[in-house]
Amino acid sequence: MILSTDKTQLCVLTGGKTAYPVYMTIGNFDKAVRRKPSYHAQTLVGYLPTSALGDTELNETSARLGRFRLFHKAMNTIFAPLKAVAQHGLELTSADGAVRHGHPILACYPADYPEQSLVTCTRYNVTCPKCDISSDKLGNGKLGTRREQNETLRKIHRAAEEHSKTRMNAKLKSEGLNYIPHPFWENWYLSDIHLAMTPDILHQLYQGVVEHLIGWLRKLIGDAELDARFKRLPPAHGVRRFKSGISGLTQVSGPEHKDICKQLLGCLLATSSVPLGAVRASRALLDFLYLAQYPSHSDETLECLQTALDEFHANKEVFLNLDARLGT
Amino acid sequence: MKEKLGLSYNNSRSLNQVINELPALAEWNLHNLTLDDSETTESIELWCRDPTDALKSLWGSPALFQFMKFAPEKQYTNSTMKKRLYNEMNTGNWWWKKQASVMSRMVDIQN
Repeated sequence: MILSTDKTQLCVLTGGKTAYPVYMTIGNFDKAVRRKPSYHAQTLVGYLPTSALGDTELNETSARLGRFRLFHKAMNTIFAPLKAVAQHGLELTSADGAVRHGHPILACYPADYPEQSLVTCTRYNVTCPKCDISSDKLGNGKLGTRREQNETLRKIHRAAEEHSKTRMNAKLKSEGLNYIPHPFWENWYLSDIHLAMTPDILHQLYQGVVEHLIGWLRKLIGDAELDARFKRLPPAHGVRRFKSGISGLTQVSGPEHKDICKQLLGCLLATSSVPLGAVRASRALLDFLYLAQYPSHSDETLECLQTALDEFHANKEVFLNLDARLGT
Repeated sequence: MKEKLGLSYNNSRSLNQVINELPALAEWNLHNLTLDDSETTESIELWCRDPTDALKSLWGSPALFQFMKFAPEKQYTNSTMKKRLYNEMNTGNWWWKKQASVMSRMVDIQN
């Protein structure tokens, strides 16, 4: 089973109403079919509540936690029938008439980072939905210990046994978790919600890593010079022309980031103002970016992916040394 | 004419009846939720479909049948079978692992 949820703005004119649809599909379909809406391979199974607990007497924090628990309760209500048959399976008839015995197991849950945090009960902007790394250690290139569904549940329940709410919160905080006593994936046969989280190219690579990279380079080279270099590039087919450079862009969208990435490396080379390390680190990140989007991987390309990452870590020092990193 | 064409209906009404017997998409249900462990007792509406029915209709879709995979695979870059290829979901390790867990459980039940 592949589930996905996404909060969507319906129409700004009607007062910013949002919808929160839940979609479901199966991994038996080819991925090219799953992503095309015209094939109807995704089924809408429900609409989650969006406006609940908006104006209550609760304070901000407990209202937010209440909304988290409401999400899990609603998801649990929707998927209870499926969870019930996951272990023993059910008879499924495909279009050729063959009857197969199927076990609906939660495999993937593609979502953006805020939703990943919500789904896995991990704390937003504090830790990772897949491992137990804390936000201050993200840059050191080492992996945290992988989170495991049953371990997460045990941690939440153990914290709930504490006598006072303050101590419970402190305990959960140190684990980077939120108090959700019954997440919807609880007892779902053979599922591991942390494993089901998938990387998100738009938010995590283009709007995440690339945005940082551009920020560092702008500080390193200077807005005026970087803009001038973008302007100097000769026009070419399939490449966007940034007539007034890139520093003036606000709310840079995914496609704009893609257009910037195509030309970025060309703007770094052949000048003394950019140290070699910065060029290498940028190239490694861009390599990683493009390798990560391959529709098919082999052991070899995965190795290249790791090499690109290692090369970035080996060369990233230059951004720190030159004070190019924002916020330092 | 009915016999000649081999139709399964007499008139438009019975044609509609035949159509109505086709498997349809799952129906919508309304649930009312309350958060029992919170201070508020706000009742919240939740509209959803039965996911098992939704699964059955996805699985049985004639249009999508040609794109379906039923068994895990291992694909390699060449005939030496040294380097694996990963693309569709059934070419990864997850399908193999889950299949093994489900199978071992089945054997346990049979014994």
